[in-house]
Amino acid sequence: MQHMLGFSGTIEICLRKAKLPEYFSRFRELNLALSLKEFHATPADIILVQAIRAGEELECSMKQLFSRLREWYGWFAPLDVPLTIESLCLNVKSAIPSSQFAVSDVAEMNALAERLLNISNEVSTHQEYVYSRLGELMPATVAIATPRLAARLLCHTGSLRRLALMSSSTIQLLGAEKALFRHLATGAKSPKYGFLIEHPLVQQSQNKGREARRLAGKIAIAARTDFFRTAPLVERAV
Amino acid sequence: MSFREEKKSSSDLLMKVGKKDYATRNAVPGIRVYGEKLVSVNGEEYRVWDPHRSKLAAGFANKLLLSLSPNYVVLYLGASTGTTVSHIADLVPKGFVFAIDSAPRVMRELLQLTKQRSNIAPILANASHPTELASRLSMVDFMYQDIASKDQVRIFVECMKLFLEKNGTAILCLKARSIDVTAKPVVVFERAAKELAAEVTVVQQLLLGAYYPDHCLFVCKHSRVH
Repeated sequence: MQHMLGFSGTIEICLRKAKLPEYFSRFRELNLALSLKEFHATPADIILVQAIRAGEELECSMKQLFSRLREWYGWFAPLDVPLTIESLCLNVKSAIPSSQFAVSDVAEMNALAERLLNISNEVSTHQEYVYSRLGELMPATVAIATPRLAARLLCHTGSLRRLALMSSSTIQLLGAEKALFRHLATGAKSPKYGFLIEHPLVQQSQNKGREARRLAGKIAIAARTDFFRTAPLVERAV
Repeated sequence: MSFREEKKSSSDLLMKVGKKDYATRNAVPGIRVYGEKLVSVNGEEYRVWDPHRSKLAAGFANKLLLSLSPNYVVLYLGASTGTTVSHIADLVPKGFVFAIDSAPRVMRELLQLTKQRSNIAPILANASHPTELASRLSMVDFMYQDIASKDQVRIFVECMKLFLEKNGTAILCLKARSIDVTAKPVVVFERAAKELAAEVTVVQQLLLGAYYPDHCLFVCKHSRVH
Protein backbone atom coordinates (compact mmCIF):
# COMPACT_ATOMS: atom_id res chain seq x y z
CA MET A 1 0.00 0.00 0.00
CA GLN A 2 2.64 2.46 1.10
CA HIS A 3 4.61 1.58 -1.95
CA MET A 4 1.63 2.06 -4.23
CA LEU A 5 0.77 5.44 -2.80
CA GLY A 6 4.33 6.58 -2.89
CA PHE A 7 4.57 7.44 0.79
CA SER A 8 7.06 5.98 3.20
CA GLY A 9 5.84 4.37 6.41
CA THR A 10 5.95 7.17 8.99
CA ILE A 11 4.68 9.82 6.63
CA GLU A 12 1.83 7.56 5.67
CA ILE A 13 0.72 7.19 9.28
CA CYS A 14 1.00 10.94 9.93
CA LEU A 15 -1.05 11.75 6.85
CA ARG A 16 -3.68 9.26 7.86
CA LYS A 17 -3.88 10.61 11.38
CA ALA A 18 -4.22 14.14 10.07
CA LYS A 19 -6.67 13.00 7.40
CA LEU A 20 -5.05 15.31 4.92
CA PRO A 21 -6.84 15.71 1.59
CA GLU A 22 -3.60 14.77 -0.15
CA TYR A 23 -3.69 11.34 1.45
CA PHE A 24 -7.19 10.62 0.19
CA SER A 25 -6.80 12.13 -3.24
CA ARG A 26 -4.10 9.53 -3.84
CA PHE A 27 -6.54 6.82 -2.80
CA ARG A 28 -9.04 8.29 -5.20
CA GLU A 29 -6.67 8.28 -8.14
CA LEU A 30 -5.38 4.80 -7.42
CA ASN A 31 -8.86 3.31 -7.04
CA LEU A 32 -10.24 5.15 -10.03
CA ALA A 33 -7.44 3.79 -12.19
CA LEU A 34 -7.81 0.24 -10.87
CA SER A 35 -11.61 0.30 -11.24
CA LEU A 36 -11.41 1.58 -14.79
CA LYS A 37 -8.89 -1.12 -15.64
CA GLU A 38 -11.20 -3.76 -14.19
CA PHE A 39 -14.14 -2.19 -15.99
CA HIS A 40 -12.40 -2.36 -19.34
CA ALA A 41 -11.45 -5.98 -18.69
CA THR A 42 -15.11 -6.98 -19.10
CA PRO A 43 -15.18 -10.00 -21.46
CA ALA A 44 -16.28 -9.45 -25.06
CA ASP A 45 -19.22 -11.88 -24.74
CA ILE A 46 -20.88 -9.70 -22.11
CA ILE A 47 -20.63 -6.68 -24.37
CA LEU A 48 -21.85 -8.67 -27.38
CA VAL A 49 -25.13 -9.17 -25.52
CA GLN A 50 -25.88 -5.50 -26.21
CA ALA A 51 -25.44 -6.05 -29.94
CA ILE A 52 -27.70 -9.11 -29.84
CA ARG A 53 -30.40 -7.17 -28.03
CA ALA A 54 -30.05 -4.29 -30.50
CA GLY A 55 -30.54 -6.81 -33.31
CA GLU A 56 -33.70 -8.16 -31.69
CA GLU A 57 -35.04 -4.63 -31.29
CA LEU A 58 -34.23 -3.75 -34.89
CA GLU A 59 -36.02 -6.85 -36.10
CA CYS A 60 -39.00 -6.01 -33.95
CA SER A 61 -39.28 -2.48 -35.31
CA MET A 62 -38.85 -3.80 -38.83
CA LYS A 63 -41.80 -6.17 -38.42
CA GLN A 64 -43.95 -3.52 -36.80
CA LEU A 65 -43.28 -0.90 -39.47
CA PHE A 66 -43.82 -3.49 -42.20
CA SER A 67 -47.25 -4.44 -40.96
CA ARG A 68 -48.14 -0.77 -40.48
CA LEU A 69 -47.09 0.07 -44.03
CA ARG A 70 -49.10 -2.87 -45.37
CA GLU A 71 -52.15 -1.58 -43.51
CA TRP A 72 -51.62 1.91 -44.85
CA TYR A 73 -50.96 0.84 -48.43
CA GLY A 74 -53.99 -1.47 -48.22
CA TRP A 75 -56.25 1.58 -48.27
CA PHE A 76 -54.53 2.72 -51.43
CA ALA A 77 -54.53 -0.52 -53.43
CA PRO A 78 -56.75 -3.09 -51.69
CA LEU A 79 -56.40 -5.70 -54.42
CA ASP A 80 -52.61 -5.84 -54.54
CA VAL A 81 -50.81 -5.76 -51.17
CA PRO A 82 -47.46 -7.61 -51.41
CA LEU A 83 -46.27 -9.97 -48.68
CA THR A 84 -42.56 -9.12 -48.67
CA ILE A 85 -40.86 -5.94 -47.58
CA GLU A 86 -39.02 -5.41 -50.87
CA SER A 87 -42.02 -5.77 -53.17
CA LEU A 88 -44.23 -3.75 -50.84
CA CYS A 89 -41.73 -0.90 -50.83
CA LEU A 90 -41.44 -1.14 -54.61
CA ASN A 91 -45.21 -0.88 -54.99
CA VAL A 92 -45.41 2.04 -52.58
CA LYS A 93 -42.76 3.90 -54.54
CA SER A 94 -44.62 3.51 -57.82
CA ALA A 95 -47.92 4.62 -56.30
CA ILE A 96 -49.66 7.44 -58.15
CA PRO A 97 -51.61 10.09 -56.24
CA SER A 98 -55.38 9.94 -56.68
CA SER A 99 -58.43 11.89 -55.57
CA GLN A 100 -58.34 10.03 -52.25
CA PHE A 101 -54.55 10.17 -51.81
CA ALA A 102 -52.93 13.59 -52.21
CA VAL A 103 -49.33 14.08 -53.32
CA SER A 104 -48.26 14.73 -49.72
CA ASP A 105 -49.93 11.48 -48.56
CA VAL A 106 -48.04 9.41 -51.10
CA ALA A 107 -44.80 11.24 -50.38
CA GLU A 108 -45.10 10.43 -46.69
CA MET A 109 -45.86 6.80 -47.43
CA ASN A 110 -42.79 6.75 -49.68
CA ALA A 111 -40.63 8.15 -46.90
CA LEU A 112 -41.75 5.39 -44.57
CA ALA A 113 -41.04 2.77 -47.22
CA GLU A 114 -37.54 4.18 -47.65
CA ARG A 115 -36.91 4.01 -43.91
CA LEU A 116 -38.27 0.47 -43.75
CA LEU A 117 -35.88 -0.64 -46.49
CA ASN A 118 -32.98 0.92 -44.61
CA ILE A 119 -33.94 -0.85 -41.41
CA SER A 120 -34.33 -4.16 -43.21
CA ASN A 121 -30.82 -3.77 -44.68
CA GLU A 122 -29.51 -2.83 -41.24
CA VAL A 123 -31.12 -5.94 -39.77
CA SER A 124 -29.24 -8.24 -42.15
CA THR A 125 -25.84 -6.51 -41.86
CA HIS A 126 -26.24 -6.38 -38.09
CA GLN A 127 -27.06 -10.07 -38.04
CA GLU A 128 -23.97 -10.86 -40.09
CA TYR A 129 -21.85 -8.92 -37.62
CA VAL A 130 -23.38 -10.66 -34.60
CA TYR A 131 -23.02 -14.12 -36.13
CA SER A 132 -19.38 -13.57 -37.08
CA ARG A 133 -18.54 -12.28 -33.58
CA LEU A 134 -20.38 -15.24 -32.07
CA GLY A 135 -18.36 -17.53 -34.31
CA GLU A 136 -15.15 -16.08 -32.88
CA LEU A 137 -16.25 -16.14 -29.25
CA MET A 138 -18.11 -19.44 -29.07
CA PRO A 139 -17.43 -21.46 -32.22
CA ALA A 140 -18.37 -24.84 -30.76
CA THR A 141 -21.70 -23.65 -29.40
CA VAL A 142 -22.55 -21.96 -32.70
CA ALA A 143 -21.71 -25.14 -34.61
CA ILE A 144 -23.99 -27.26 -32.44
CA ALA A 145 -26.79 -24.86 -31.71
CA THR A 146 -26.95 -22.66 -34.86
CA PRO A 147 -25.94 -18.99 -34.59
CA ARG A 148 -29.47 -17.80 -33.92
CA LEU A 149 -30.02 -20.13 -30.98
CA ALA A 150 -26.51 -19.45 -29.63
CA ALA A 151 -27.29 -15.73 -29.66
CA ARG A 152 -30.56 -16.34 -27.83
CA LEU A 153 -28.89 -18.44 -25.15
CA LEU A 154 -26.04 -15.97 -24.62
CA CYS A 155 -28.47 -13.09 -24.44
CA HIS A 156 -30.67 -14.89 -21.95
CA THR A 157 -27.88 -15.99 -19.62
CA GLY A 158 -25.92 -12.72 -19.90
CA SER A 159 -22.46 -14.20 -20.31
CA LEU A 160 -20.62 -17.18 -21.72
CA ARG A 161 -19.31 -17.90 -18.24
CA ARG A 162 -22.79 -18.34 -16.85
CA LEU A 163 -23.88 -20.47 -19.79
CA ALA A 164 -20.80 -22.66 -19.47
CA LEU A 165 -21.39 -23.27 -15.77
CA MET A 166 -25.01 -24.27 -16.28
CA SER A 167 -26.16 -27.85 -16.09
CA SER A 168 -27.59 -29.24 -19.30
CA SER A 169 -31.01 -29.62 -17.69
CA THR A 170 -31.05 -25.88 -17.03
CA ILE A 171 -30.04 -25.16 -20.62
CA GLN A 172 -32.82 -27.44 -21.82
CA LEU A 173 -35.41 -25.26 -20.10
CA LEU A 174 -33.95 -21.80 -20.74
CA GLY A 175 -36.79 -19.67 -22.03
CA ALA A 176 -39.42 -21.92 -20.44
CA GLU A 177 -39.11 -20.46 -16.94
CA LYS A 178 -42.74 -19.50 -16.70
CA ALA A 179 -43.92 -23.00 -17.53
CA LEU A 180 -41.31 -24.51 -15.21
CA PHE A 181 -42.39 -22.48 -12.20
CA ARG A 182 -46.04 -23.09 -12.98
CA HIS A 183 -45.18 -26.79 -13.03
CA LEU A 184 -43.39 -26.56 -9.68
CA ALA A 185 -46.09 -24.44 -8.09
CA THR A 186 -49.26 -26.08 -9.36
CA GLY A 187 -48.15 -29.46 -10.63
CA ALA A 188 -49.07 -28.60 -14.21
CA LYS A 189 -47.31 -30.46 -17.04
CA SER A 190 -43.55 -29.93 -16.99
CA PRO A 191 -41.96 -28.10 -19.94
CA LYS A 192 -39.64 -30.15 -22.18
CA TYR A 193 -37.85 -27.35 -23.99
CA GLY A 194 -37.54 -23.57 -24.12
CA PHE A 195 -35.51 -21.76 -26.74
CA LEU A 196 -34.26 -25.14 -27.94
CA ILE A 197 -37.48 -25.61 -29.92
CA GLU A 198 -35.92 -23.21 -32.46
CA HIS A 199 -33.33 -25.82 -33.38
CA PRO A 200 -34.13 -27.78 -36.57
CA LEU A 201 -33.25 -31.10 -34.90
CA VAL A 202 -35.85 -30.53 -32.19
CA GLN A 203 -38.42 -29.17 -34.59
CA GLN A 204 -38.17 -32.13 -36.95
CA SER A 205 -38.08 -34.75 -34.24
CA GLN A 206 -41.03 -37.00 -33.44
CA ASN A 207 -40.02 -36.93 -29.78
CA LYS A 208 -39.19 -33.28 -29.16
CA GLY A 209 -38.54 -33.65 -25.44
CA ARG A 210 -35.95 -36.37 -25.92
CA GLU A 211 -34.25 -34.46 -28.75
CA ALA A 212 -34.17 -31.27 -26.64
CA ARG A 213 -32.56 -33.14 -23.75
CA ARG A 214 -29.90 -34.61 -26.04
CA LEU A 215 -29.24 -31.26 -27.67
CA ALA A 216 -28.99 -29.48 -24.30
CA GLY A 217 -26.30 -31.95 -23.24
CA LYS A 218 -24.27 -31.26 -26.36
CA ILE A 219 -24.70 -27.49 -26.00
CA ALA A 220 -23.50 -27.67 -22.40
CA ILE A 221 -20.34 -29.46 -23.52
CA ALA A 222 -19.82 -27.02 -26.39
CA ALA A 223 -20.26 -23.97 -24.17
CA ARG A 224 -17.69 -25.33 -21.73
CA THR A 225 -15.23 -26.01 -24.54
CA ASP A 226 -15.67 -22.45 -25.72
CA PHE A 227 -15.37 -20.93 -22.29
CA PHE A 228 -12.33 -22.84 -21.08
CA ARG A 229 -10.59 -22.77 -24.44
CA THR A 230 -8.89 -19.40 -24.02
CA ALA A 231 -7.50 -19.43 -20.48
CA PRO A 232 -6.28 -21.90 -17.88
CA LEU A 233 -9.19 -23.68 -16.27
CA VAL A 234 -8.62 -22.59 -12.70
CA GLU A 235 -8.11 -18.94 -13.52
CA ARG A 236 -11.40 -18.52 -15.31
CA ALA A 237 -13.62 -20.67 -13.11
CA VAL A 238 -13.10 -18.86 -9.83
CA MET B 1 -12.91 21.62 16.74
CA SER B 2 -14.94 21.45 19.93
CA PHE B 3 -17.68 18.91 20.30
CA ARG B 4 -20.39 21.53 20.12
CA GLU B 5 -19.04 23.09 16.95
CA GLU B 6 -18.72 19.73 15.34
CA LYS B 7 -22.29 18.87 16.24
CA LYS B 8 -23.55 22.15 14.87
CA SER B 9 -21.83 21.82 11.55
CA SER B 10 -22.91 18.22 11.08
CA SER B 11 -26.53 19.15 11.78
CA ASP B 12 -26.13 21.84 9.16
CA LEU B 13 -25.30 19.22 6.60
CA LEU B 14 -28.36 17.11 7.35
CA MET B 15 -31.64 19.01 7.51
CA LYS B 16 -35.17 18.01 8.13
CA VAL B 17 -37.41 19.25 5.38
CA GLY B 18 -41.12 18.68 5.68
CA LYS B 19 -42.53 16.21 8.15
CA LYS B 20 -40.38 13.14 7.77
CA ASP B 21 -37.99 13.79 4.91
CA TYR B 22 -34.37 14.67 5.33
CA ALA B 23 -32.09 16.54 2.95
CA THR B 24 -28.32 16.89 2.71
CA ARG B 25 -26.45 20.01 1.73
CA ASN B 26 -25.49 19.66 -1.90
CA ALA B 27 -21.71 19.52 -2.24
CA VAL B 28 -22.08 20.31 -5.96
CA PRO B 29 -24.81 22.96 -6.08
CA GLY B 30 -27.13 22.87 -9.05
CA ILE B 31 -26.46 19.22 -9.88
CA ARG B 32 -28.90 16.40 -9.28
CA VAL B 33 -27.58 12.86 -8.92
CA TYR B 34 -30.67 10.73 -9.51
CA GLY B 35 -33.48 13.20 -10.18
CA GLU B 36 -34.03 14.09 -6.53
CA LYS B 37 -35.67 17.35 -5.47
CA LEU B 38 -33.47 20.34 -4.75
CA VAL B 39 -34.61 22.73 -2.02
CA SER B 40 -33.12 25.91 -0.68
CA VAL B 41 -32.76 26.35 3.10
CA ASN B 42 -31.16 29.52 4.51
CA GLY B 43 -29.68 30.32 1.14
CA GLU B 44 -27.99 26.92 0.83
CA GLU B 45 -29.01 24.23 -1.61
CA TYR B 46 -30.12 20.88 -0.18
CA ARG B 47 -30.83 17.58 -1.92
CA VAL B 48 -33.91 15.79 -0.60
CA TRP B 49 -33.06 12.29 0.55
CA ASP B 50 -35.86 10.02 -0.58
CA PRO B 51 -36.54 7.27 2.00
CA HIS B 52 -38.09 5.17 -0.74
CA ARG B 53 -34.83 5.11 -2.66
CA SER B 54 -32.28 4.85 0.10
CA LYS B 55 -32.39 2.51 3.06
CA LEU B 56 -30.25 4.82 5.14
CA ALA B 57 -32.76 7.63 4.57
CA ALA B 58 -35.53 5.23 5.54
CA GLY B 59 -33.49 4.53 8.65
CA PHE B 60 -33.38 8.23 9.55
CA ALA B 61 -37.13 8.39 9.01
CA ASN B 62 -37.43 5.51 11.50
CA LYS B 63 -35.36 7.09 14.28
CA LEU B 64 -31.93 5.78 13.45
CA LEU B 65 -29.33 6.83 16.01
CA LEU B 66 -26.43 8.02 13.90
CA SER B 67 -24.49 11.21 13.45
CA LEU B 68 -21.62 11.59 11.05
CA SER B 69 -18.87 14.13 11.58
CA PRO B 70 -17.89 16.10 8.47
CA ASN B 71 -14.38 14.65 8.59
CA TYR B 72 -15.38 11.01 8.79
CA VAL B 73 -13.84 8.46 6.49
CA VAL B 74 -16.52 6.07 5.26
CA LEU B 75 -16.50 2.60 3.75
CA TYR B 76 -19.59 1.83 1.70
CA LEU B 77 -20.07 -1.79 0.60
CA GLY B 78 -22.64 -2.31 -2.13
CA ALA B 79 -22.54 1.21 -3.54
CA SER B 80 -24.62 0.37 -6.62
CA THR B 81 -25.36 3.48 -8.71
CA GLY B 82 -24.42 5.77 -5.86
CA THR B 83 -27.78 7.11 -4.70
CA THR B 84 -26.99 6.73 -1.02
CA VAL B 85 -23.28 7.25 -1.58
CA SER B 86 -23.92 10.75 -2.92
CA HIS B 87 -25.78 11.73 0.25
CA ILE B 88 -23.12 10.27 2.51
CA ALA B 89 -20.50 12.17 0.50
CA ASP B 90 -22.55 15.32 1.16
CA LEU B 91 -22.43 14.56 4.87
CA VAL B 92 -18.63 14.20 5.02
CA PRO B 93 -17.31 17.17 2.99
CA LYS B 94 -14.02 17.08 4.87
CA GLY B 95 -13.86 13.32 4.93
CA PHE B 96 -13.80 10.59 2.33
CA VAL B 97 -15.95 7.75 1.00
CA PHE B 98 -14.70 4.42 -0.32
CA ALA B 99 -17.53 3.08 -2.47
CA ILE B 100 -17.33 -0.60 -3.36
CA ASP B 101 -19.48 -2.55 -5.79
CA SER B 102 -18.87 -5.72 -7.75
CA ALA B 103 -21.03 -5.03 -10.81
CA PRO B 104 -19.40 -3.23 -13.76
CA ARG B 105 -22.75 -2.05 -15.09
CA VAL B 106 -23.68 0.03 -12.04
CA MET B 107 -20.07 1.14 -11.65
CA ARG B 108 -20.64 3.33 -14.71
CA GLU B 109 -22.96 5.62 -12.80
CA LEU B 110 -20.67 5.57 -9.82
CA LEU B 111 -17.75 6.69 -11.97
CA GLN B 112 -19.85 9.60 -13.16
CA LEU B 113 -20.54 10.53 -9.56
CA THR B 114 -16.85 10.35 -8.75
CA LYS B 115 -16.14 12.81 -11.52
CA GLN B 116 -18.39 15.36 -9.82
CA ARG B 117 -17.27 14.80 -6.26
CA SER B 118 -13.68 14.71 -5.12
CA ASN B 119 -14.30 12.83 -1.87
CA ILE B 120 -15.34 9.49 -3.37
CA ALA B 121 -13.14 6.61 -4.49
CA PRO B 122 -14.92 4.03 -6.66
CA ILE B 123 -13.80 0.46 -6.15
CA LEU B 124 -14.95 -2.17 -8.62
CA ALA B 125 -14.31 -5.33 -6.64
CA ASN B 126 -16.04 -8.21 -4.99
CA ALA B 127 -16.35 -7.65 -1.26
CA SER B 128 -16.72 -11.30 -0.33
CA HIS B 129 -12.99 -11.58 0.34
CA PRO B 130 -12.29 -8.43 2.38
CA THR B 131 -8.58 -9.08 2.80
CA GLU B 132 -8.13 -8.59 -0.95
CA LEU B 133 -9.40 -5.04 -0.57
CA ALA B 134 -6.85 -4.10 2.06
CA SER B 135 -4.42 -2.49 -0.36
CA ARG B 136 -7.09 -0.15 -1.69
CA LEU B 137 -8.56 1.22 1.55
CA SER B 138 -7.56 3.11 4.65
CA MET B 139 -9.07 2.64 8.09
CA VAL B 140 -12.55 4.17 8.33
CA ASP B 141 -14.71 5.81 10.98
CA PHE B 142 -18.01 4.66 9.58
CA MET B 143 -18.96 1.60 7.60
CA TYR B 144 -22.20 0.90 5.78
CA GLN B 145 -23.06 -2.35 4.08
CA ASP B 146 -25.98 -2.99 1.78
CA ILE B 147 -25.25 -6.03 -0.33
CA ALA B 148 -27.63 -8.79 -1.32
CA SER B 149 -25.48 -11.75 -0.50
CA LYS B 150 -26.19 -14.89 1.42
CA ASP B 151 -23.17 -14.47 3.67
CA GLN B 152 -23.50 -10.73 4.16
CA VAL B 153 -23.21 -11.03 7.93
CA ARG B 154 -19.83 -12.75 7.67
CA ILE B 155 -18.57 -10.16 5.18
CA PHE B 156 -19.80 -7.39 7.47
CA VAL B 157 -18.01 -8.71 10.54
CA GLU B 158 -14.80 -9.38 8.61
CA CYS B 159 -14.78 -5.89 7.13
CA MET B 160 -15.50 -4.34 10.49
CA LYS B 161 -12.54 -6.12 12.03
CA LEU B 162 -10.24 -5.21 9.18
CA PHE B 163 -11.17 -1.64 8.35
CA LEU B 164 -13.17 -0.01 11.16
CA GLU B 165 -11.40 2.25 13.65
CA LYS B 166 -11.62 1.38 17.33
CA ASN B 167 -14.56 3.61 18.14
CA GLY B 168 -16.13 3.64 14.71
CA THR B 169 -19.71 2.78 13.88
CA ALA B 170 -20.93 0.27 11.34
CA ILE B 171 -24.38 -0.30 9.90
CA LEU B 172 -25.49 -3.54 8.33
CA CYS B 173 -28.53 -3.38 6.11
CA LEU B 174 -29.99 -6.85 6.04
CA LYS B 175 -32.42 -8.06 3.43
CA ALA B 176 -34.15 -11.11 4.83
CA ARG B 177 -35.14 -12.34 1.36
CA SER B 178 -31.60 -12.59 0.13
CA ILE B 179 -30.49 -14.70 3.08
CA ASP B 180 -33.38 -17.15 3.12
CA VAL B 181 -36.48 -16.69 0.98
CA THR B 182 -38.37 -19.44 2.70
CA ALA B 183 -37.86 -18.40 6.33
CA LYS B 184 -39.88 -15.69 8.03
CA PRO B 185 -37.99 -12.36 8.06
CA VAL B 186 -38.24 -12.10 11.85
CA VAL B 187 -36.47 -15.43 12.22
CA VAL B 188 -33.74 -14.36 9.80
CA PHE B 189 -33.22 -11.12 11.74
CA GLU B 190 -33.02 -12.99 15.02
CA ARG B 191 -30.45 -15.37 13.62
CA ALA B 192 -28.39 -12.50 12.20
CA ALA B 193 -28.57 -10.59 15.48
CA LYS B 194 -27.23 -13.62 17.31
CA GLU B 195 -24.47 -14.09 14.77
CA LEU B 196 -23.51 -10.43 15.09
CA ALA B 197 -23.67 -10.38 18.89
CA ALA B 198 -21.10 -13.16 19.02
CA GLU B 199 -18.52 -10.90 17.36
CA VAL B 200 -19.53 -7.27 17.85
CA THR B 201 -21.88 -5.09 19.91
CA VAL B 202 -25.23 -4.32 18.38
CA VAL B 203 -26.22 -0.82 19.48
CA GLN B 204 -29.49 -0.52 17.67
CA GLN B 205 -31.65 -2.76 15.55
CA LEU B 206 -34.46 -1.22 13.58
CA LEU B 207 -36.95 -2.24 10.94
CA LEU B 208 -37.49 0.04 8.00
CA GLY B 209 -41.26 -0.27 8.11
CA ALA B 210 -43.29 0.34 5.00
CA TYR B 211 -40.37 1.87 3.07
CA TYR B 212 -38.54 -1.42 2.86
CA PRO B 213 -40.49 -4.44 4.05
CA ASP B 214 -38.32 -7.35 5.22
CA HIS B 215 -35.28 -5.11 5.69
CA CYS B 216 -33.55 -4.44 8.97
CA LEU B 217 -30.71 -2.13 9.99
CA PHE B 218 -28.17 -3.16 12.62
CA VAL B 219 -26.03 -0.41 14.09
CA CYS B 220 -22.86 -1.98 15.48
CA LYS B 221 -19.71 -1.06 17.36
CA HIS B 222 -16.61 -3.02 18.24
CA SER B 223 -16.99 -5.00 21.43
CA ARG B 224 -14.85 -3.71 24.28
CA VAL B 225 -12.06 -6.08 25.13
CA HIS B 226 -11.77 -6.53 28.88
